[in-house]
Amino acid sequence: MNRTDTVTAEANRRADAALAARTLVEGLSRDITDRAPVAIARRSRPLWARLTRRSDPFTVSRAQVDQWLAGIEARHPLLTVTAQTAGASRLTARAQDSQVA
Amino acid sequence: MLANIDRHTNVGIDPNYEVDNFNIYIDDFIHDYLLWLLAAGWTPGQSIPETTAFKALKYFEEEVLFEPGAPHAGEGPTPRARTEAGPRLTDIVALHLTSATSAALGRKLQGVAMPEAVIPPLLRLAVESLLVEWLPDSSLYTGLVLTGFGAGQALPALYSFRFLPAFGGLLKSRRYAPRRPRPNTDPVIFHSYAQDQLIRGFVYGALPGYELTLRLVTMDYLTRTFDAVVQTIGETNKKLAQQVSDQLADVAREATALGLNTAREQRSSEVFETLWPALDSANADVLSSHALKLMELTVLEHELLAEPSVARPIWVLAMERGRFYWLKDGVRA
Repeated sequence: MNRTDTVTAEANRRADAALAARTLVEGLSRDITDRAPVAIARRSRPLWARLTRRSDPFTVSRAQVDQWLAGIEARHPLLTVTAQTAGASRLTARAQDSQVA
Repeated sequence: MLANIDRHTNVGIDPNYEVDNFNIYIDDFIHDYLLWLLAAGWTPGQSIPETTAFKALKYFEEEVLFEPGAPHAGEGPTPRARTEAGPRLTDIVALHLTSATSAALGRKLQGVAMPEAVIPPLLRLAVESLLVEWLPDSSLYTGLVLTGFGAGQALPALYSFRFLPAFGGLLKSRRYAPRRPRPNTDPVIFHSYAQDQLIRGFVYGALPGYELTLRLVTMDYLTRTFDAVVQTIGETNKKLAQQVSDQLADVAREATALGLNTAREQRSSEVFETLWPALDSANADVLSSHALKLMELTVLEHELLAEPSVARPIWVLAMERGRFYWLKDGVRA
């Protein structure tokens, strides 16, 4: 398989996965779509402990957050008016066509 | 500009309101992750295998961090554009991220444990998602449409944005529909964005809420019926039951979608066969008159239902190249 085939296969796989997820939005179990709060606070074990069966709560330091944000700033282009290129426009315009006559 | 509201405005957002907005964002983020978990093969209520959790995370990362669509041959996926973080964002994230994530996972998983190894990369993706031009599919958006003529442009352009309530000096937004009319092939853009339920009802023949109820109830009834049929067959022939189950797997969803989409197309074709020629070569006066009528659909509904949240006067901005004017309830202001 050459590189073009690999890229195409990768794109198809992502498109299939995205379609599967969108499909599931419509057919979701009520357990997932129901956002009503449950009485979790009344239970004795802390939520993070029940979620992962670990003994310590999750923690994220300020330095860690800064590092993650800096990583995105380094790897992704800054959003500017000139970034609204024709290529990006075409992609979103196609998606819009199905919703707007 | 939209993504850095603090830098351009002094709106004085209440800190508690900001925390609520952040918690809602994380809740929606987790909801979208769980959709990928379902797509990766997880069954709600059952334990989550670690491999499934990471497979879903990989799909989710690609959705969040990269532009949709097939990359060009020889290129990787295109990273989404991002905004800049401020110290207030870091503060709110460091203080509330883990509690918001725990609350969202706890509420949605209802006792099912999430593999612990996936939590740190999931938290990281949640933080990274804040800066890129992406919004959770599960979020409730509000919208803003900007349109007008650029310098020296003969044709107007339209930019439709979706955004979520602000937090940490950040207004999460996403360009939704940059459009520009094209002479001959695509001369008219018909775009509704806010308070548009009645406009959509006019175009498609049914309100979005009506369609959703119809879809869910029909799917539910069909699914229950099919399940009962498969169960009955399975009592005597398990292999045949599996075959029937496979054949019926998508019928409930596809049948409802087929009916609704056909009805929508029929109605919208009728509407636009008449409306399109009227708009095709219309000047700003005619277009503003039609815009007023469309907004009146919504206003009339609110007046009939005694809901004062949307009311007259209706302001319409009419634009042509080099000039613009306002109309108040159809009269030049």
